Amino acid sequence: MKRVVVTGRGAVTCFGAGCAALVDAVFVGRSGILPRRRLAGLVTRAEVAAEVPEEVAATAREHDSLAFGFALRAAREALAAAQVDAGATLGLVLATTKADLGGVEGAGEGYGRPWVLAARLAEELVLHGPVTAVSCACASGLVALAHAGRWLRAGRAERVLVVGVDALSGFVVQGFERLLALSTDPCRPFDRRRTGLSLGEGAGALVLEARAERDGCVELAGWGAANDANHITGPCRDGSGLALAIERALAHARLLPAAIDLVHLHGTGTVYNDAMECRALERIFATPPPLAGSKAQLGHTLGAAGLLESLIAIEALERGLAPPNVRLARPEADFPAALVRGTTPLGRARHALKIAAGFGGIDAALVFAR
Amino acid sequence: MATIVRAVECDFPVFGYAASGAGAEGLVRDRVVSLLPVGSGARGGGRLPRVAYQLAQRASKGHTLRGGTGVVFGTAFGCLTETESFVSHMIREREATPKPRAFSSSVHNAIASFVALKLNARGECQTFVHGELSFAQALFAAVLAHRRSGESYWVGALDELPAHTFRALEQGVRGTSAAHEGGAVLFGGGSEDVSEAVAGSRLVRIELGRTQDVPAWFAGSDAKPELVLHAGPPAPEADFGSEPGCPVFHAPPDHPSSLATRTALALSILDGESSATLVGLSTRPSRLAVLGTTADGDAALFELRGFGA
Repeated sequence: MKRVVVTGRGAVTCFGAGCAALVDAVFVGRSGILPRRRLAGLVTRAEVAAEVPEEVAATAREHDSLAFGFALRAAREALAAAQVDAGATLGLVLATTKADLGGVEGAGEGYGRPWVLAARLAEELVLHGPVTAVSCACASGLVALAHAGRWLRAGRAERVLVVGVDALSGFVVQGFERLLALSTDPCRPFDRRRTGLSLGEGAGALVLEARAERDGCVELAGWGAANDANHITGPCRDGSGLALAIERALAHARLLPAAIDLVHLHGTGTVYNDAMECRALERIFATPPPLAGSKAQLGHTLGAAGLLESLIAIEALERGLAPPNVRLARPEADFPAALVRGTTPLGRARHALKIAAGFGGIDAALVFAR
Repeated sequence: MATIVRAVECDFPVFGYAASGAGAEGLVRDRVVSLLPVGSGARGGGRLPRVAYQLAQRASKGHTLRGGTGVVFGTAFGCLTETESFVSHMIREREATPKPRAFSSSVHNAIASFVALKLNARGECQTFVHGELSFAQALFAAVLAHRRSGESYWVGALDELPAHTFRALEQGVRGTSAAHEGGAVLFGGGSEDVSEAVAGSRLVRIELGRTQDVPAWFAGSDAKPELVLHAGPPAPEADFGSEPGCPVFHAPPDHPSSLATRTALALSILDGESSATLVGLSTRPSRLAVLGTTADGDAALFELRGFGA
């Protein structure tokens, strides 16, 4: 059976364009959650978000669509890193929650049609391969990576570009505001004073390839998914759905829990999500490995989150470091002590577990191996 | 544009199905669900999620469900009724009171997730948003997932067309099909021995690609389907040359999820529930293909066989 390896990475985030800008900021503990600028006119209780810097957004806007502009820039970086020539046969899996809503809000031609965004991306990048678009709420990115892995294992493609993207819009900000899910201050996942999430935006891209050997690359070694079947917006309180997804990913990677050296968390900062994640990890690990999340730095980037945070998990394996849980001062008393505070050396850095959960009770988990 | 043309052979048994809206007319009454969902069991979701739940219930009627059952859906637009409601309150009426449930229901995966919630399906729950080929992408994903898991899956696609979107379509928003609503759900997969099943069909091949790939999908096949049900722009013969080498029953898509309703009709004909004369055949076939093509040049093909074939 062929291995699925990561050969290219790209990112556009609140830290600017490029993977280097992202990972350098993350591992030194910076946060990009600031008072909203582009969407400053919206009347909401929460006035902070992790917006892409204006100089990067301005370039993206030249394409008449922030989402497209972000995705294109991240994709080009990943393709260049993977040394993919223009016109190569390459599949594309796009992950997004809302695609481009510019047309709905009177500022563009986007009408929330992910497949149109995917087709435009494939056309612009001259990709001659299968294309699809996944929309599984906040788990979209991990579901897309797993789907690309299946394509590669099934021989549908030999290389696949996976892109996750979402741009902040009035629709999304007002939606989370109405759900009372936003934190008025920059979010503080897993802290006992957490009150909600901070939204972010951006794009992440990974090039996956089917190879006989890892060839020094990080491998996407396993994936699993499940559904809580519990509530349409709230997570299952006992963490059983996410635990099931993790069990499936570990089984797919043929690993025992003790082989995991780092868990990169979903960690939204909402009261129930963070507690659910801790319950799920308790079900899997007798002694959890270092636990770290990045939404206190990037905000919740929705459809981009799975890609961007996978990129951070991969970087963590390569650096042998767990990224910090920024603004985690006092964890809940019953949360695992393995939640790291600052950037922490990993005793061993061979396998990282990336987890996510989303609206509709969707749970997903990936295992990366180095 | 050249694409990879690789046949994906599969053996995905289909045990039940149901359809709703335009394109479901040829099915027997027990297989059709109203687009105006009723019944207390469907409370709590938007319009499409409730229709999807009833379709899924109908599709798996009579089958023992297991805990690992997955839900894989396609939709072009998702729950537009709720999306329109949210946008209307937020922007057009300048009200600061959009309903939170309208937002949470506006995500594309609200349909599949509601089915999973109501039917306690704790397997994978995926949603593909790929215009008129959303169902094809969902079915392909279910086939790939089934290969490894051996679990059962509800696979479907559903689309609706509320007032604002209807007007937008009339004004020519690109990437959509005719102005109707509907969809279908099938229940299949599993790991049980299907050799003794007395009803039902199985998916034996699935292809996804471009319209120019279609002739290659049929060329060289020593066992042609008896008929191809085609949902797509008219007159594809010019693109397909002498293939598929068997009769083609053309019908333009009624809505973005027409490929799902066409598949339900094909299953119904294979099962003998619907008359073969609906598609111009004089006798019940044992092997049918469903072909979807889009104006943008994408294509999908499913080949189905009756269990007795």
